[in-house]
Formats: sequence, structure tokens, C-alpha cells
Amino acid sequence: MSAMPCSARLANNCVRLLLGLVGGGIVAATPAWADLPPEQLAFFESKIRPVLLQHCYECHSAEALKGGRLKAELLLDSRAGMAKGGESGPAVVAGKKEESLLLAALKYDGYEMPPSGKLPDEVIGDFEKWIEMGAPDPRDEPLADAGPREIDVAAGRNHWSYRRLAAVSPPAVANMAWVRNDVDRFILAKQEAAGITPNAEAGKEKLLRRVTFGLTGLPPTPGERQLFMADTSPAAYEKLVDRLLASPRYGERWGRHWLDAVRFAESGGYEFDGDRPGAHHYRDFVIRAFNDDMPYDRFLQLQIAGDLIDPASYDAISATGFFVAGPYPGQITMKTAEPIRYDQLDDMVQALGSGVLGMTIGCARCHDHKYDAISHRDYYAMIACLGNTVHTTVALDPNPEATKLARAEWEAMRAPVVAVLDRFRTGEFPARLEKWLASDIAAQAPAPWLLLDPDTLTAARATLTADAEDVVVASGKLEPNDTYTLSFSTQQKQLTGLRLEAFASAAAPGGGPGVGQDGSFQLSELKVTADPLMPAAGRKQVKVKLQPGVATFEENGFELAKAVDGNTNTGWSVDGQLGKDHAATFAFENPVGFEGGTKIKVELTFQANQHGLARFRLAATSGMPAAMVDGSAVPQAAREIVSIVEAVRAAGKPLVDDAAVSREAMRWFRKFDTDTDRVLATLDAVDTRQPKPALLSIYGTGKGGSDVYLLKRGEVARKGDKAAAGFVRSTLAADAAEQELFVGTDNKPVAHPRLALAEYITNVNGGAGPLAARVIVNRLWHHHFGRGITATPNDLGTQGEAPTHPELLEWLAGRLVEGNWGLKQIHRLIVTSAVYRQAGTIPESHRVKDPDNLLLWHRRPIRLEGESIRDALLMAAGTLDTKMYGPGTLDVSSPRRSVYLTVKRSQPVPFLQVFDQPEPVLSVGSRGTATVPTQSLAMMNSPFVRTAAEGLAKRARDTIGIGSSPTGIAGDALIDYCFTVVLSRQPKPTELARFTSLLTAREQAAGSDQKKRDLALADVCHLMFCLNEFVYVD
Amino acid sequence: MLGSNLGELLLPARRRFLRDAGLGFGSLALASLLGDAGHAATSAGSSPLTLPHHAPKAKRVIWLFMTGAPSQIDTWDYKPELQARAGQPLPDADKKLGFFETSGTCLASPFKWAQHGSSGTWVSDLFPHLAQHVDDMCFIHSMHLKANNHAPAAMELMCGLNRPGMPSMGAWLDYGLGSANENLPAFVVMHERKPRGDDQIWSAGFLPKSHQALAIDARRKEAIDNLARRAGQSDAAQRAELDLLHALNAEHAAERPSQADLQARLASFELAYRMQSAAPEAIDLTQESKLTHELYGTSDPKCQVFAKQCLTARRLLERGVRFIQIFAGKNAGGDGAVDDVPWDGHVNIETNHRSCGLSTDRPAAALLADLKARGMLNDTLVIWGGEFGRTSDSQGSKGRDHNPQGFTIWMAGGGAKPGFHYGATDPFGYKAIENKVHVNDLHATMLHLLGIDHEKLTYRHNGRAYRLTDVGGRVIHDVIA
Repeated sequence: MSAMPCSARLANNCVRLLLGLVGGGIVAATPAWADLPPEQLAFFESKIRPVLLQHCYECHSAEALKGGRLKAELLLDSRAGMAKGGESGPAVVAGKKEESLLLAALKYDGYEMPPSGKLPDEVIGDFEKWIEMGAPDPRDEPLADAGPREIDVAAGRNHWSYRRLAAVSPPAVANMAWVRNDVDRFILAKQEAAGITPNAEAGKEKLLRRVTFGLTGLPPTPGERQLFMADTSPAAYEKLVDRLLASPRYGERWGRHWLDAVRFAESGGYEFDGDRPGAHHYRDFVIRAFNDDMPYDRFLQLQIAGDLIDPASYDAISATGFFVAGPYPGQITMKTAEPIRYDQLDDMVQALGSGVLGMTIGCARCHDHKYDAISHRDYYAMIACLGNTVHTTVALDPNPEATKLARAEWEAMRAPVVAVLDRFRTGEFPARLEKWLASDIAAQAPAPWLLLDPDTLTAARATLTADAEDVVVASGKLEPNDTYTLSFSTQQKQLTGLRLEAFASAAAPGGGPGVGQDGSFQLSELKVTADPLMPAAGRKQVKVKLQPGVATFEENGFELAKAVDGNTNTGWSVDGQLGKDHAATFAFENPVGFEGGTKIKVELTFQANQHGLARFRLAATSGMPAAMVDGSAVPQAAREIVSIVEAVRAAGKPLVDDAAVSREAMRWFRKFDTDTDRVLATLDAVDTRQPKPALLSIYGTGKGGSDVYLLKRGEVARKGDKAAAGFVRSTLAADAAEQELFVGTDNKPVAHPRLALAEYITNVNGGAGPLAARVIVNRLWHHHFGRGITATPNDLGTQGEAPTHPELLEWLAGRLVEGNWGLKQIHRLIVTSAVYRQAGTIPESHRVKDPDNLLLWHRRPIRLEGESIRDALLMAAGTLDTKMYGPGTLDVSSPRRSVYLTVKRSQPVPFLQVFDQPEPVLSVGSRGTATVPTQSLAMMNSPFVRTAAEGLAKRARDTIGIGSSPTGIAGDALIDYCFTVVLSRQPKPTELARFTSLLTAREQAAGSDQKKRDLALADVCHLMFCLNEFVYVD
Repeated sequence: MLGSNLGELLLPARRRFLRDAGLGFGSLALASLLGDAGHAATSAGSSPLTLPHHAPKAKRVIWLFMTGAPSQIDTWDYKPELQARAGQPLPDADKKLGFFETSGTCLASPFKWAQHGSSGTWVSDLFPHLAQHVDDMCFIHSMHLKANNHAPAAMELMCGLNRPGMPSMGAWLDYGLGSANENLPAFVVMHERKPRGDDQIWSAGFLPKSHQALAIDARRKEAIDNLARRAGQSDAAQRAELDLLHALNAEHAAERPSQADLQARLASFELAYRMQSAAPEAIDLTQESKLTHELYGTSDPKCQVFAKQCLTARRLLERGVRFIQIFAGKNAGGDGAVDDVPWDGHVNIETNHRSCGLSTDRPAAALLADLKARGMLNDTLVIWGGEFGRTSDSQGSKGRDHNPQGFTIWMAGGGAKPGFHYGATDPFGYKAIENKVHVNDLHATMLHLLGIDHEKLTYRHNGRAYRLTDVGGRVIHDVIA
């Protein structure tokens, strides 16, 4: 069946009720039917049996079973069949109409039976009555065996694509002169058997264009053409192939093919189609892997489990973009969370199934696969491998070695400064501190509040700065929905609460205290966490629970309590008294303060489309916060120094003994002592130069999620047992292989089932490796010939097309595995074969014997993909920018190759879409090549093509050095050049004559208007782009 | 191995050609160019279709999509019980049914209701113009679907499944029936701001790309991409270029006789050439009379966007476009709701629906009247509805949340039974309970009216024959005239 499931929506269909797992039902103890009251028997015979006979037996009876018409294995022609029903439960439960699904089906409630139309209400009423009276039923016929098809795993292993790889020898052929490599012997043997002779080799120009587009997706340049045409050595073509395979353009071309197979996009689809800014790293990984000829098994393993295999590697993390590339809803409610979760798992397993295994595994979501040996159980075993897998964004240092070195260099530079500081700390600092302690400043008057002096202050949108009075000012992007995060450190213990002062501000747009246009703000949530400043055993982070204290003002409905209710849609605001200073207090449920000091983090969120604060200040207290909203306050520094000194003295040790503690004292003391400040400032200066790696945000797979349950009929409402991780057993060498794959090389169970999955996919001995190898070599063949050895690259199951050359496919798969899974060697085999290099000549006799060219006796032209058309246009215009990697763009006029255009699900690039770029929703193995007028309109009228035509005309003029108004010989030279650029061959004299006459006519029409005359050549180039030959490669 | 292909040889040559050519909306046009009377399947990989399966009652469809989901109980599904129990608990309320959380308390419809027409149909005062046409309408009050948010529900309604990737019904019709005009596409979508789900809800899915909708954005000056010749190019100059192109391409194709799409490409440039004039003509509203403009309200600021869309749609329908969907936008003003889902009255159902009614009522009624006057309503199926209904209990104090368990759509013309009501919700309008109709059933019925057996309109993809109605769908014969 399919990549799309037959859908959970089956629920609404009769099939659901009926397609049961036979054997689950137990026939209730048989009452003495012989003793049926006559009136009940009469009711059945007159009201029930005729209806069943007329409307149900056609599809649900022993007769139907015999005639092959039985639907969904449900029998309604016996009491036993009724009682057994389908998977959903019995069709009829005596006396219980709610549990009798037959009744629901008759009522068209969930199920709809009979399908020809709902029965009259009085008939349904009869059934209701009948069930209520105990469903008296005299039909004692034994139950016929209508059992469902059991998946035969062992037989499934014999399917051609599920078998182990077989050794295949190229067959003997008569015409060895035609054969260039072993590939050809497989092709020729079939042709000889059918009495068909292959074509000879195509001309060099055609070969050059064919293989250059085929391997790189771009046309050859005039220079490349020149070199190749001049190279008369026997190995000229092979040298060309080597050069193309080594070109970075190869990875861009073949990476794009892979991206089709894995439904790659850079946004979530559904509502809002949110962007995934880190998703392009996956695209870059794919391109790089192709260019580096990464072994294909490794390529797959990293995509499946790169985060587990090599978590520090940029390649491995980027590769995990595979599973999470599918569409994902942007809005999720409680009701939909679980179905969406299973949809996501389905998307992942389908991408793996279609893209990697050529398998329509999605069909087994609701029931055993109807055609292939994939059971419902196997489906859930596979998604159980992904159960603890979610999408995530990983911050990763792409070059940790460089970062390590830079850090070492910095540390080496910092060491002497630290040494100076320590000399000061142990030398001059203690005496200076003693002197200060004796001064008046140290003997600060007590106050209920201690003003908090922020260590760090950041906001999601605005820019925050603190002034000398510890007042924090917001500037810059004063937008709604901001979050301010501040941190403080303190030595105070037994802290009981916070005060937030919100000041009016002349600088704020509305005069404050908020940054809203009217001075409003809404504090959605205030969150406080406390961490130990000096880590030690038993000191753990505390999430501080807050109680609302007192506020100077609360808007009706926006009370202070709403700022600590855990709901960001509600909050505290002071609308009605804007433009004034305000304050509010919050009490800690438990006192806060660690031994050795505390780091306090305060987070203020302003959500619900409301604004943040313009000027504010935080203070802490050890008293009763609620009572002191307007109490006096003192700065932190003096109090902190005194606290540190008191603690040290109590311990009876000199301050300098503990470096960390004395440095903390210096940190506060610098406010009072210029020398201390100068020493610390030197260190600050060095610290600002601490190297920070440029972390990349990579969209990929991470751990998370939850267990997976087997869902009957694919419905989350009908959970079965927890599903154990496992695989599609018919693709294994033997049953035992399933468990063996969960054992790592160290003989221990693997740490995560995804690691076993990665092994399963690529293991040729026990796992699905042979299948994966067949699928990829078929994909390569498909793209080189326009049709795969099997014509359905995403389905190598029983419903896919049978391979035209099964032995060749087997042989190529074997070569891939033997050659350490290198793809370039397979490309080389294919494109250097005689069958690939054939001419397109078509003898009539062959056409009759094999009209579809299944035996590959001639080369058929291939329509370029939209990407290649666009890239070739840019290349012809001389504007193609070959910059690789990095974020893309949605702008079609970008000079970069099309593979770097951002793939946004709701905004396909029209030029590519019109040329059949597939929707990035499901894996696509074979693109369409429809011919539609909108393509012609794009070629004729789109600014993009016109710009390219003008670009080519200018390039021709610049290259040849002919100024304007070319006529005669000069015109011929320009046309010759443009034609060669566009079609990689020189024009025939008749072609040249036609274009020349067009050029001349256009120039004459332009008269003396020089600008128009210049455009005449662009008109000619534009026409060349519209030629069939430009978009079809022979 | 060759057996099956020998069979292929027996196919009539032209049909084979068309299939191989992978032609798009010009398929019927090309068929007639080639003198092929019958319409053939248009793409490789599909099973040959013989359409129609039976005599059609409708030749074309227009769906007025009320984006954002109008409330059934404030439009066409009058519930005296709900009016009477305002402020009381809604029995069996599921507060988490919608997208947010609802109150569980009945919210009466704030609109005035009256009966109209000889059918005595109850209509709220949101639709003074449409109310005059109730005797032409066939109401289904028992629609239901699974998805409870806009994009997935729109996908379910348009494509039969609440996940992306399936072809939408317009694409299916294009695939099955093609266009009746060689110069215009078969499937056209009109929108203002794109509705939630964007291109995903009018996608060709796995069908050939040629079946995707031509989307006309009301906000853009140029309705269709690349229709205008490049600046400075005269018709004569373009014709001369195309003649030369034709000659060169014909030579190229002649050398490659097995490649049907090369021939198709020759025709494709000619079609494109003709579209350049045909398409602008088709959407040129200046050709309509002043009276017609007044009927639709094209200069009424409250409804002019939708009015112009409806009038354009009528011109396209006249010219053979098979399927049109207009996604009602927000027009000039409107309250509260977000632009891309104007009927989404979460906060205040009264002000929200009032403004949406004003922006859609008059043009929709004008379309019905106009089609009727031109004798087109007989074979044009008009459908009106949004992606789901709304809750009978309130969200906040005055709004209503999403409700996929029961909502109303109506059809008119094209073989739908006039002045008829089918199915029902419970006394509170909360849940469909009688003659429930799933979107698959609606699709099956719509296809039936178009002469198509929904089980036979299939396309083979990834190893399975797909259809618009997936594995469900039943034709509701009761609603057919």
C-alpha cells in the first residue's frame, strides 16, 4: 500500500469494525436456544433474519466467504459469528446495546452499514429491541474459518528485495565488442535474447552534455567542451568522469536527489509553517557526504543515530536532521498532542521506509500490510525504536579543536594577570580592607531592603543596562512579549522576599513605568531561582516559590497574584495609574541563602502581547516583605563585605587563605578602593577576550518523547501493550537476528534502540542491509537513465514494479557493499558503460519489439529538473555563484545554485514548482515531468529568464570583444558562442542562418536606438533558452 | 516481461501519446487539437479513466470557503433550546473540545432569527441577501470531521485527510475531468491573505504537478504569473519568435519520435501564447455591466474584495473552469480575528460574525442570482461552508471556540435538492446526531453529481491506488434532486 496511511480515519468506516483479528472473541456460554420463547423466536424470524439476509449476507456470510466476497472477515450468518464480531469487539452483545457494534453501524454512528444507505429508523429500532431482549438467535451453524491472512515472515524473506545478497556473475554475451564493462553484459544478454541490438556510442558533444548534467546538474562550460573535444586519447571520457566526480558540484546535484527522498524542508508546514533556522545543516551534511564519498552505510547510520554515535561531531549532529525533516503542526492542544505524536513517528518511519528501504511501511500502521510481509507488530516495533526521539536544536561547536587551542592561548595570556591579582590579594588587599572596616562607610546604618546590584542582565528583545543606583533601564527594541533575566550574588542568609520598584521614566515612550505607548506594562510571571555561589555537597539549586505581597496599585483583574500564578496569559499591571513610580513585594515561601553565598536569578516575563518595564530596581530583604513596600534601602557592597568578613572571622581563619572567598570580597571592595578596582579591571579586560566558539544551532534529532504503544487500528484511543523496539522481521536473515541487533560490539545491550536501528538498516548479514543497498543503487540508476531498474524507486515491495534487470541490480548492490559502500564507484561503473553512452537512434523494428525501451537499446532524452534549468540559466548568464553551504534564501533571483534556495513548505519557489519540484511532505523517488503552459509562460515571460538572456548576450559581447551592433560575420560569431554556451554544441549552418536572420531583423527594427540594438542579441539568447534541446538532455 | 507492454501497444495511439506526454491542464485542449474526441488519463502511472461514469448533473463547482469557520448556531442552524438556556450549563460540554478552553456555559446566539422562503428556513440576520435564496439551497446540518484546528481541518475538508500530502479535490477533478477551456486551467483558487495551511490545502499532492491550482491573490496586481509579455515586446515580435521556436522544436522532436512530451511542449508554447490574451480577458471585470457590479457590490468597501472574487469566478466558470475555491478574506475591516482566518470568532462572536457577514453576504447572494439568471445554476454546484463549526458554550464571555463535531454547509444548484435540510445537530447545536455526514461523504456526493464514481477515480502512487475519499465515503442520495 502506501506512504500515506489508509489513515486513522478508517474509524469512520465499516472496514474498521469488521477487519478483525479472529480468535480474540469468545463465544458466550450457549444458552438453551431450543428453549427460546416462541414470541422471541418469531421476532427474530420476522424482524431480524430478513434484514440480515437482505442487507448483510451478501458480504458477511459463509456463502460470501466461499464466493470470495467476504468483507473484512466478519460473519453475520450465525450466532457465533455475531458474538465474535471484529477486532472492535463483538458485533452483538446480548442485552447490551451500547456494546453492540452492529447497532452502532446500523445507526451510522462511527461505522456506516449497510453501505448502500441507512436503514429506516423502525428497522434499527427492531434491532435495538432485539438486543435488549437478549438477542435471541436460533442460528446454531458452526463458525466458518474466515481468519485473516497471517503474515508469513519466513515466506516474506524470499521476496526478491528482502533476500540476502546473492553472488551474481555477469552473463556471457555474443557481441563482446559492444561491451565496455560488466554492466553491459547484463543489458546485452537480455537484448540478445529478444533479438535486439543496442545503439553505438553517442557523439562526443552529446556524451559531454549528458554526463556533465548527469553528475553535476550543470552544463559543461565552453572551455570544458574545448578541452574534451581536443582530447583524442582513448581514456578522454574516463578522465572527464573522474573530473566530474571530484567536482563539488557533484554533491550539490546528488544531494538534491537525496533531499527528495527524505522530504527535506526548512519549515514545519501546517499552521504558520514556522521556520527551522538550523535545518540547512542537514542539507550541507548531505552535500558534503556525497562529495566526500562517505560510505553509504555510514551515511545512513549518522542520519539515524548521529547524535548517539558521535555527539561532538558537526557531521554526525547535522545528519540527524533526517528524522525530523517532516512537517509538524505549529499548534498543539491537549486533545491533539498524542495523535500528533504518533503522526510524527509515522512520518519518521515512513521516511525511513520509503527513502532508505523502498518499503511502504506506513501501510502497517492500522493493520498488517495487505501485500508485503510487514506486520502491524513490526510497524510498532520500528516506531518503538524512535519512541524516545524528538526534534531539537543542538548548539554545537563545529570546530572544537580550534576552540580548545584558542582557549589555551587565552589561558596562557591570562595566567600572569591572575598572578598579579593574587599578589595584590595576599599583599596589599588585607591591610586596605582592615582600614576600610574601621571607617564609617563600613558601619552602614541598617535598612530593611538591600538594593541588588546585577552581575548579569539580558533581555530577549530590549537592551538592559544598570546605573550606579542599581536601576535597570530598558532601551533598544521596546517590543511586547519580552523576557528580562537578571542575576545577583549575595552573602545574605535567610532572605525572605523581594521588592520590585517600577519607576516612571521621562525617556520611556509613554513616560513609564512600562515601555508601552501609554506607559503600560504587564508582568506575566516573576520567577526566582537560587544557586550556591560556592558549590559543595548538599547545596542544590532551589526554585523559589513566591507569594504575592503588597503592590502600590493593582489594576482590576490584573492583581499582583497573577504575576506568580504560573500562567503567562495573566499578570500584574497598573493601568489607571501610569506615569508614576510603583512598587510591589513578593515573599519567599522558604528563606533563601546558602553557606558561602547565593546566586539569585530573577526572570521577569511580559507575555500576552504586553510590554515590559522601562526603569526598575530589585531589592531583597530578611524581614517581612509584605509590610515594607516603601521601606528604605541600602546598596549591597558594604553589607556584603561585612558579611564575608564576619563569616571568615567566625571560622577563625585569615581572609586570604580562601582564594575564592577573598576574591568575592575584592569584587565588592572595588567600589570603595581604586587600586583594587584597577587590579580587577585588568582581569576584566582579559576576560572579555575569552574565546567563545561560534556555536551553530543545528536542527536535528534528540532524546525525549515517551514509550510507544501498539495502537489497534492505529487509533490512540485504543492502546494495546507497550511496543518493544524491533524491526521488520521479513527483512532479517532469521528471527534471531532481531535480538542480536540489540547487542552492541561490546556484547552489552545497546544504549539506545536507535543505535540498533542504525545497525539493522546497514547490516548485510542479519539486517536489512541488502535491501538498503538495492534501493540506493536503483536510485542511482533511476537518475542516470530516467527510469530505475525497478521503476518504483520508493517501493521494492510486491506492489512495486518488478525489476527489468534483477541480476544487474543484485550485482550492483553486491559491488556497492564489497566496495565499502562507496557510491562514486557505482556512478563510475554506470556512466562509463556502453549502455549509458549509447546514441538515441531508434530503429523501427526495435520500437515494435520494445516500445518502452525497457531493454535499454537506445538513450531516451531526460527532461532537466527545475533546479538544473535554473542553474543552467544562471551559468549561461555567467552569474552563477558557486558559494557552498550555509543559510539559504527564498529569493529566486539569488545567484546561488537552486539546492541552496530555502525550502519553505508554504512558499514553494514558483519557478521550481512549475517544473515539478515535489512537495516536501513525503519521500519522493521519481519526480514528475509534466508539460504545462505555465512552464512555457515562465520561459517566455518571466523576468528571471529574461535577465539570464540579457546576461548571456552581454557575456558573449564581453567575451568576444565585440561592442555593439554586430552584423554579418561578427553576428555569426556571437550567435555561435551563445548557442554553444546554451546547448554545448555548435549550431548547424541552417540553425545559424535562422538565428542570424532573427538577429538582423531585430536590429533593423531597433533602428538607431543603440540600447534596443543591444537587446536584439538578448532576444536571440532568450529564444535559445526556449528550445526543447535546452531542457532535454539526449 | 514485454507482455504488458505489448498490451500497451494496442492502446489507441493518441491516448498513449497523451499519457506519455504527461500533459497538464491543456490536456483536453491538446486532445482536441489532435482531434481526439475522448478524454484520456493524463499522466503516466494512472489507470486509464473513462469519464464520466454516469450522466453528470453538475459540470462545475464553486466552493465559497468561509475561512476561519463560521458558527453553525449563529448562521443556519437555529436552536431555540440554546437561546432559552443561555447562561446555564451546556449538557455534556467538553471544555477541551476546541483549541482553547471553553466555559461549559450556553451562549445564546446574539443574532435575530427569522424564517425565510417557502421552505421556512431559519436564517440569522447575518445574511439578509442570502436569506432570499434559501429555497435554492440544500443544507447539511450534520457535517463533522476530526481535526480541531484550521490547517489540518482545511486539509481534511479539501483533501480528505487531516495531514499534508494528499491532492485536493480540485486537483482530483482536474486529473479526472480536465479543463473545458483550452486556454484556462481547470482548478482555480482565490484568496486574500493565504488561509492557514497555504498551498498545502490546494496542492496536487502526489498527482502530477500540472493538476495544482492556479492561485489568484486578491492583493496582487498581476493575478497570474508571467502572463504579461516582456516590456517592449510586440505581439508580432513574439509571434515571429514563437514561429521560429516552433520550427526548431519541431525538428528536434521529429528526430526523437518516441518522446511524446517533446510534441507536447510544442503545443504548450502555443497554449501559453493564447493564455496571454485569454486569461486577462477572463478576469477583466471592466467587461461587466454597471448593474452587475452593483449586484455584487464591487464598489462597496465592506465587501468589495469578495465581490470582485465572486464576479471573477463567475466569468471563469462561464469559460469552462471546472473548480473554483474562494477563501473569504478579511476585506477592508472586520473585528478581532486574524486576517487569515476571518470567521474565527474566539473573542466576540457577534462583532466578528457581523463583519464577516457584511463582507460576504451580498456577493455570495449575487453569485447565486447571477448564475441563475444566466441559466448556469442548474449545472453549477455552489458550496458554502468553513473548516468546522463553533462551540455552543462560550469561550470567555462572548466568543466561541472551534467545534469539529457538528456544523452546517449548504449547496445550491448542480443537482443539489433545493429548499432541503439534511441531518441535524442536538438541541444545542453542539454535535451532529442525525444522518451524520463526514467530509468523505460530501466528496463522494460531490463527485457523484459530477458524474464520477468516487471509488473509481483513482491514482496509483507508492504501490497503492489512492482516491479522494480514501477508504470511506458514501453518496448521500437524499440530498440529490
